[in-house]
Amino acid sequence: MVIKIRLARFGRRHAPVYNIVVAHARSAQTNRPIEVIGTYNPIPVPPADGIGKGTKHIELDTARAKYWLGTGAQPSDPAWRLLSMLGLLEPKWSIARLQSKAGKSAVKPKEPRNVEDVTKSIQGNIGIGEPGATAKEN
Amino acid sequence: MFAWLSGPGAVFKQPTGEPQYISSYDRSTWERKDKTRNPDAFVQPYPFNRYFKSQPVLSDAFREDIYTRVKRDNHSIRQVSAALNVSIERVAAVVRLKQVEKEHVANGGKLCTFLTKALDQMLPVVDVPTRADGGSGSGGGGGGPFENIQELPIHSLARRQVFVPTSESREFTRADAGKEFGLPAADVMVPHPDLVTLAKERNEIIPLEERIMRQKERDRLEEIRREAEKERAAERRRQKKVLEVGRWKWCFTEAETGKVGFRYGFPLPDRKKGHVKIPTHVS
Repeated sequence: MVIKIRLARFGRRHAPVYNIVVAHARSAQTNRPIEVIGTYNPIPVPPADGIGKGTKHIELDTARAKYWLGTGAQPSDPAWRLLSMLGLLEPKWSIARLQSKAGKSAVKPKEPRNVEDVTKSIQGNIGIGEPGATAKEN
Repeated sequence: MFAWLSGPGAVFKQPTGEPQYISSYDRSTWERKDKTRNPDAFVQPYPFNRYFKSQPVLSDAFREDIYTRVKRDNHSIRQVSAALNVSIERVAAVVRLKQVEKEHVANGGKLCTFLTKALDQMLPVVDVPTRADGGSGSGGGGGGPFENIQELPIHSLARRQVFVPTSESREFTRADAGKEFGLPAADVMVPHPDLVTLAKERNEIIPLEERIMRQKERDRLEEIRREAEKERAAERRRQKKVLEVGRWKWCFTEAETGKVGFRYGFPLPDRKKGHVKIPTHVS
């Protein structure tokens, strides 16, 4: 069975905190995992002086995380995001976005695929004989 | 009135460079009072309010001296505080502000000294102590330390009344009192506990060489302790990694499997009785 590195939700309503766990893929979120290798608090601690960015705290046993990745454990998307920030993995989503931008993937990019095309079509609205011209006349 | 203004009151017309409080003059003869005999008259700006006393301020030379001792001679703030009889907080503040001042000047800024000069004429100014033992010529109290550096901070735990029955034969010391409040002894809580130890040894009439030996040993231990603390801080910093990605700062702390994480099968204790969840203080 696939071993996954994933988050297990703890905490209360509107106050989630997560254990970063190594567990069998088909076990429930609340099941006792194979191993707890860290915690993740998604609620940012506001900066002390009120200026700047809030801090999200992550505790992680990096040695165990590396070991489990070495055995082929599959991180879930949120776990992948955290581990890639530490440099244990290649970042997943930014690469996918770059690929999609270049037209190599089916993932929808956040930005318009080709900015020039869009601007041209908007400007075309004004010109006569362009696809948007009829809409303007109406 | 005009007779007074042109006569004895003329001294109050223009600033003379030092505090000219009306209380420091004898009302009948308009002679300046003797500073050594009644020093309080020289720090009382309001004649009818004898509880208001002007607090002495450090002269610029004194502040510069504190800064050079800390920055150039690499003395600890505690050492400088003990040597010059200036409280630890004040020494730290002087060093901080001098640093800001110097950076400002280095960046091509100008110092605005008008207010400082004006205040120096209205308040007793304390200059650098000339003697090595730290007794400074205080402008306020007339010769003596700048301030009491051994002021015991009042801990909120010590604010309650406690009645402790003890036997008469029992020696009830400050350490025992501290234990009743759940605090260390007052001798340890004061800003300079090392000075207390020195004074005790002096009173026990221990020969000077022995005292110096002991102090050296204490200094050595203190140095070791400080080194260890520095190492621990470096270790903590090494284990902690702060990244700035996207909207947040991410603080990664190295953890150990088996010790980290929320435990399974144990409910959070925060719904138990007696847990106060309303914040009791603002940090």
